[in-house]
Amino acid sequence: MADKELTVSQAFRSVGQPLSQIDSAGKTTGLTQYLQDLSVPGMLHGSIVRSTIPHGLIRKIDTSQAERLPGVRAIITAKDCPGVLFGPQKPEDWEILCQDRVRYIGDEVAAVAATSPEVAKEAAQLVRIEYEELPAVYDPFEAMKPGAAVLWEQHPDNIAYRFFIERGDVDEALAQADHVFEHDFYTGRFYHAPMEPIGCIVQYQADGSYTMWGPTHVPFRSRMTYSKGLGVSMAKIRIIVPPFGGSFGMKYELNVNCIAAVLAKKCGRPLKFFYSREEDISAGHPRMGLHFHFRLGINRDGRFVGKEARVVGTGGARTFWTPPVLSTACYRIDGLYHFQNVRTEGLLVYTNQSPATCFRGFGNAEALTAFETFIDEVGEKIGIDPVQLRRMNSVKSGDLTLHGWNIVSCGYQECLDRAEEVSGFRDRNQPPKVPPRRVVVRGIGLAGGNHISGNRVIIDEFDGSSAQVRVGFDGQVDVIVGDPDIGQGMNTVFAQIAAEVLGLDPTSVRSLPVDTLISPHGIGTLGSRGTTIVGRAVQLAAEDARAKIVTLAAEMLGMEPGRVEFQGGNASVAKDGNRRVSMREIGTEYSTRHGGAYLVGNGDFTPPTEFPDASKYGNLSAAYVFGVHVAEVEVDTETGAVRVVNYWAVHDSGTVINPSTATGQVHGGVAQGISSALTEEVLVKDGLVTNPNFLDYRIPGFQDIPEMHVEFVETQDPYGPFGAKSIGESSLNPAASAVCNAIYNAVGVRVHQTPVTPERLWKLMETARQGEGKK
Amino acid sequence: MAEPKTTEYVVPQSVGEAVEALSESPKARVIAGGTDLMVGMREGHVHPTRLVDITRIQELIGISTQNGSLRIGAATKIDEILHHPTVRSEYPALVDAGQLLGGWQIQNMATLAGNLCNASPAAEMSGPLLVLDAEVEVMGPSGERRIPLGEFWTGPGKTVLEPAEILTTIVIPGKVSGRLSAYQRVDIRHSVDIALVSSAVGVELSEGKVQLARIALGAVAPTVIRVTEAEAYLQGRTLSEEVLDKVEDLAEAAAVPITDVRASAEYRSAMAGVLARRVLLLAAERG
Ligand SMILES: Cc1cc2nc3c(=O)[nH]c(=O)nc-3n(C[C@H](O)[C@H](O)[C@H](O)COP(=O)(O)OP(=O)(O)OC[C@H]3O[C@@H](n4cnc5c(N)ncnc54)[C@H](O)[C@@H]3O)c2cc1C
Repeated sequence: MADKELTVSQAFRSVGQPLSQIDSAGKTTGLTQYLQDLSVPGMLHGSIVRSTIPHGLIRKIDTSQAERLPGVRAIITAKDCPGVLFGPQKPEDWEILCQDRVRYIGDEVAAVAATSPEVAKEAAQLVRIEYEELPAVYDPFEAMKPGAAVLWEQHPDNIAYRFFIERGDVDEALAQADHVFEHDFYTGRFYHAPMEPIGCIVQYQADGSYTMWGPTHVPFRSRMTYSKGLGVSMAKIRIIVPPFGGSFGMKYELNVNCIAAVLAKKCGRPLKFFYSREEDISAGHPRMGLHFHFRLGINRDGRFVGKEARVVGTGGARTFWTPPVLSTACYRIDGLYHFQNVRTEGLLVYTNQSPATCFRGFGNAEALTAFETFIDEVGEKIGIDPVQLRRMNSVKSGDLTLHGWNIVSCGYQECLDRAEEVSGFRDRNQPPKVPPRRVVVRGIGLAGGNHISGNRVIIDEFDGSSAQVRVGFDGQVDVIVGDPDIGQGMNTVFAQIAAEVLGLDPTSVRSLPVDTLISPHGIGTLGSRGTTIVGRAVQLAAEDARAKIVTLAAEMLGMEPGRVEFQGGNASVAKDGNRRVSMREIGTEYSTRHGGAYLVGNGDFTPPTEFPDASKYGNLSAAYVFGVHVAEVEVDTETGAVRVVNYWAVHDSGTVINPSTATGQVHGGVAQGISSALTEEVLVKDGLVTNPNFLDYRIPGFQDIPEMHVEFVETQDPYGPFGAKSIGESSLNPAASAVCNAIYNAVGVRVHQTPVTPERLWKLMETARQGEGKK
Repeated sequence: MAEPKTTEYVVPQSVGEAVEALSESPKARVIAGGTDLMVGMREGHVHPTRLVDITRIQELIGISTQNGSLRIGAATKIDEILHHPTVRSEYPALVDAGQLLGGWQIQNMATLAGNLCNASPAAEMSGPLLVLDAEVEVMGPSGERRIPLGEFWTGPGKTVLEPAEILTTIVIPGKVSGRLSAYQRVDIRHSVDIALVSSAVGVELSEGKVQLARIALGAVAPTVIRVTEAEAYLQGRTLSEEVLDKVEDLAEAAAVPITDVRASAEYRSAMAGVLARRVLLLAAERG
């Protein structure tokens, strides 16, 4: 890929180096042990008995036939589980196994432990369940109507969660505005498609505790959720996070861990669950479908004066991380543009589908897909270049937004300038009035986006992270944090940060895996907080270690601490330059003096964020990031097929600690964004997922992803390590709208729904042509 | 009751042995590349008790010419066909289709015969062979027979093969050499997908006039079909806009597709027309 050479600040030795991920050798040679490679002595295999109907009462469960199958060791139903409702978010509506009612095809009714995965699966199929079917509802608007099937009696309107925010006087602003435009958009149900599906290994110990192995972004929060479900204290749950086989937001808290815990206890043997691809797609937890309705007030000069929005989410039958996703979809965009007056209502609706959860972009990717296509249209309608419209209305460095967010640094303008320049977007053609026939036409589209670097509201108690950097007897430097690397390269970045402070070769520094028994309490790896918040704690821990090393080195060298300087990992004398002690000697000396102890540097970082008040006012994030994408597409005007042929992405992520991993994030984000725009959608018919495989659920392949030109404009931000902000989610956010805008530029029809499959675009083009024919 | 879980695997060295191995066991199945069969077994659609691997039978491997006709052995991989000089120069529709069949890994495993015997209406190679008037040779317990490809399929997943019969050779007759051909499909993903609709065209032109035309459509009926109305209409005509429009209409009318998770019937019908016209032009341009 033709990425621009990044200029590395001369002041840094390790920060700014395009290192490949420190664990890539294992991953590329197959030596890395993922969950599916792990086993525990005596381990059995589990399989979940899932509901085959979308909604109904459980009349009878007959396990007798399954129990007789050779190799079956235990079968559990709700009777074996603590009956409490629990879950990661409010409303708490998880049951370990369904007590008396199923609410989606795939709902968890019973579970089997057996000597092999095959026997477990076969036994699961032999469990007979009698239901009394209830009417079901799938469409969120239908679900909110009086008389619709009700999923949870506590929520007779099927509304699981309502979000509301209002600032200023929107009605007045829209009444006074020169123009008011409206826009509807729907983003479809979208599967994370990690290479590794959901799974876990759980072992029950004699002291009543559980050890759980499995990838999770939030091991400490998971402990909290599972402890309520299982009715044990948090200390009784130990979570060990193996290398991730991908997640993108799917693997937070997962009920299968609790199912496995109950089953492991019952049969007294450790147990593994590992979903099949079909199970992962159809009974797993995709990104929810979101309907957006916007009304935007804008003056002749292009200033936004007010925005009203309604966002409706199809949450599914239970609540995972959809409430904060919905909130984010409702108001994150208010940190990109100054709307002056806003009012947004968000509704999360129960439907008889598998419960959705968060996905990279966390609602903001969807909101941007909806809004950045709208702004393109609005600009055209009032005759102001849409890039100019973005420039005029966007936040700038030093701004305080409507909701109290401190935009300390903002490179959005620079991203817009640079993206326009490198992509040739300025010289684009006008879209055709009517889609032409029998040609392949090109179009180019631009879209912007924003995101956060950590979020105050992830947990109530605090925002921040802590880290340790320690030097052992052998001089080995390790970084210890409580927030797992989810495959994106965070551990490499931490090694670079520590190495920068300690003057070491970053490949010599290790970042240890997360184990809740040992690691500090981490909020987790989400909200694009890893590099910024955890990274800053690592920097501070390394600085603490460095101070201790300097003191010790001065003693060992018999000199003033102020005269000791760091050179290539050696503390050495400033003046005569001959005497030096190595990190190894430091480690040995410290350890020897202290009964084998590590030399430990501690660091903790609490960003200057504020827990929002009742009106949701308060600075959410340590740092805000921005990006602009430009997509060039070819559209077959006869079939509706779209091919993205060129792509530019320019991001403001503050200081780029590792250009290689940061660029990798952009490559992945763009690929995901392109296919969210064009091909990927979990299709559900009467509650049944009809495309639970990679033939009909189409993730992109090489031929679907164009060459990408990735650049960073580096702003200065005070809070992250060395000025670093984030990239994980912002890399995806503008992509789908850039593609949609490019499609418009090519054929002159606006899309209002993603993915834009060939058939959908063909229909839109046919309708446009027929409309023209009638004139 | 649960299906038997053990499957016997036999590797015969000759066609005779293979037929025998198949006759012995009522639920025996031929396995070639296994790229359809293994997926079907995993999904629980088929439960063979014995797999008869035909890929080690030397007489079934490779491509040869005999009296001008091209003979492709049943165990020949798609990749080998793609690289065969005669195929590349004379039968470009097979190359068009073979390149779309799966990805490289699949092309290295999959056989042409497997693609035909699997009898998917969306199968890539069926249309191209149909418009080249191909025939298949079959060997079974009661001897050998030869079947025109147009009579080979009876429905989705169904062929005229009797139990224990093996397709041994695909024959493209010498008389079609010089016929221009092409193939295209409409799909959603550009890297590994299945045809929503496909079309293959074989056409013989003389001074711009159509002497003979064959138009096939895939994924718009229970089997791959020919658009005989369009073929007859084209006879003696030049490929003017008006004629192409008519071919498009006739192809669209010939399609009897279903609506499924991949596409609606309406879209498939429209695309049948679009593709037939496109592929006809593409084939003609190869002249
Ligand atoms: C990832 C993937 C992508 C794919 N993409 C495509 C695609 O783009 N287009 C497409 O058309 N197909 C595609 N396929 C399907 C498949 O690869 C092809 O149909 C292939 O040609 C089948 O050949 P095979 O040798 O693997 O057949 P097998 O799986 O070995 O056999 C298929 C069937 O035919 C029978 N059979 C095989 N050979 C004989 C014989 N000589 N005599 C009698 N019966 C026989 C078998 O018993 C079985 O029922 C794809 C498959 C996969 C897994």
